[in-house]
Amino acid sequence: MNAENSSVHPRLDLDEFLSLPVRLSIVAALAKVDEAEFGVVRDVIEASDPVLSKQVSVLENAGYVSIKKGYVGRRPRTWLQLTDDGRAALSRHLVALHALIRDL
Amino acid sequence: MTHHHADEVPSSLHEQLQAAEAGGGAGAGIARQAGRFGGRFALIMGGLIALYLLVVVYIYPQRIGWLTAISTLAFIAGIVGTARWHAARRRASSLGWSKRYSLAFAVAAGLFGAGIALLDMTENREWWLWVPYAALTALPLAVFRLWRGPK
Repeated sequence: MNAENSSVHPRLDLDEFLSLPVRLSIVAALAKVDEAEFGVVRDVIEASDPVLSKQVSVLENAGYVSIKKGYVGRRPRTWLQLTDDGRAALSRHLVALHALIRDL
Repeated sequence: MTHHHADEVPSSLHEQLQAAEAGGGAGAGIARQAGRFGGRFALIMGGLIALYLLVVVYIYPQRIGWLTAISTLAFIAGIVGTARWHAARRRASSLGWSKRYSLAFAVAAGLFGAGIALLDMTENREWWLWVPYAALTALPLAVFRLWRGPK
């Protein structure tokens, strides 16, 4: 283990945007797919439309989620996709979480 | 006094980990469903391509105008209808789906093209040659269903 790594406390790797369980659930769900429709994510993480919409906006502003809007026929569709930055942030956050819990 | 929405209350490390695990499990469920749906779509596309190859082998050489027109239109309608059905019903894509599908489709199209070239080189129209070859053409899109890709 080098000196640089040993001096970094895992809590410093926790991501402020992923500290809310609902955001963590969204990002963890999106990590398993290329992209998913808004309604599918809403249903599986059991959130309401406004809650998901608000948290997804936060994640989009953080650069973790990209949002694509379109239509199928006349029906509007919103697609959510985890960005590479989002994937990396989730990975860092989970490693830090595991490290901190292990140290408890 | 500050009011937090239930979803915005700071959480413990264990709660965060549970949320991540629950989200990951839910995402895996979405991916499985998307994989099954994408697999059915690919299988239908493969079947249409295989059927069309048999049409080219057995129906086109008869040079019956209306039969050629109907079979060609049926193939086009099948492809367009299947693509529209897929676009309308798709709710998610599993990891790497587009790349795997594109690769499988390219191989199936290549086998179709090779079949057309073979058709020019031989007079043989025996079923034992062309039915298995048509099945081979569909194979990449059929086995694509079983190729799950990265987890």
